[in-house]
Amino acid sequence: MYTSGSTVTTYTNAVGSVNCLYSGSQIYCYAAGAVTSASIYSTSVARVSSSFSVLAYSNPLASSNPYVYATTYFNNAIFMGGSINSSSEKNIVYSNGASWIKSGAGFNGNVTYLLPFNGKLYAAGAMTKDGNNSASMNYVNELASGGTYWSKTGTNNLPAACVALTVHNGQLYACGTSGGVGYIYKYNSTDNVWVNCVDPGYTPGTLLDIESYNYRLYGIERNASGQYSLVSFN
Amino acid sequence: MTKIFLLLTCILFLFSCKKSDPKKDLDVANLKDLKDGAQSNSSSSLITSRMIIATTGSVINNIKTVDNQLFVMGSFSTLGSASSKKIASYYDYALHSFPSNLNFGTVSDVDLFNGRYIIGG
Repeated sequence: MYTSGSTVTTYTNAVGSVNCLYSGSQIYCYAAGAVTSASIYSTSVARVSSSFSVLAYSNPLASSNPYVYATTYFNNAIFMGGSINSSSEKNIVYSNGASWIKSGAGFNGNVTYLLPFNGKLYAAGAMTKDGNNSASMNYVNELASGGTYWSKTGTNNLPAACVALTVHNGQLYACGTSGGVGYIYKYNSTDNVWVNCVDPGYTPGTLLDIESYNYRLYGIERNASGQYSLVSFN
Repeated sequence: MTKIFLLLTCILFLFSCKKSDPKKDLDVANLKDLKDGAQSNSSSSLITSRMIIATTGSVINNIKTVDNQLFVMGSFSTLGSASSKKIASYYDYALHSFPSNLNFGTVSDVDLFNGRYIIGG
């Protein structure tokens, strides 16, 4: 759906669920998730044109029941990450405009967040190895501009799968939950290490997302009883 | 009289020494250094506020900064409110419905495109 002033208009030719949007190209807004563009074919990703109509984009993914968690634009291509399990896709793909292509060797686990930053594309998720189950991977990995293969971000790893990334005060932050306790780590690019940045006096519940806003870092936390809190950090 | 004057002078001198106690200043400096050091070396980040924004049974999928606004997305009820929000803008330490007439489904993401907000869910 889209807004025009206070009016909300709902698309009728996009069926399924949208999990993520990306409008950075200014030509199309890409919508991905488990989208079915009903009039054309099942695609998992659709695009909204400048006239606000929904179109399918590229050929369908090869995976059965793919679910896209993240989409972004990098190296002049649309990237999608998610649960995209076919051998030709391995959870992270990019488009050449006609079909989806596995990025590097892919990953052995779901990709939940994509973030371009400082000339690199960062992919976060639950991966432990590349898509060949060969090279070891971290929960956050990076692809250099013009690069082909993904490499680990950091000589150390995060404590558990990463669910979100953000850039705050010019630095990369990651969050997730390990053993029921949320974590937020900051990436020290000089030393190539992840550093815990949660105060010892604060025990977060499940951390679902982080975002930088108005010079502060915000997080969404869910406690054991299911209440959600907005937390802010120095 | 002279003795009393000298005694008062000594008391004032000692009091002034106490006020500028270098150890006390050092302690304050160390405490500050410890806090600053923790932020720069071990990168501790002190939580500054925690505000319950949604009651049990709610779902929050995403927070995202778009168009210089912080949006909270999902399907959630805030404390003291019977109506369920799908997407809200956070400012003035509170969540505000956005847009006011969106009252169905579950929102996962929002982005600004050609002057309009595209909302997916």
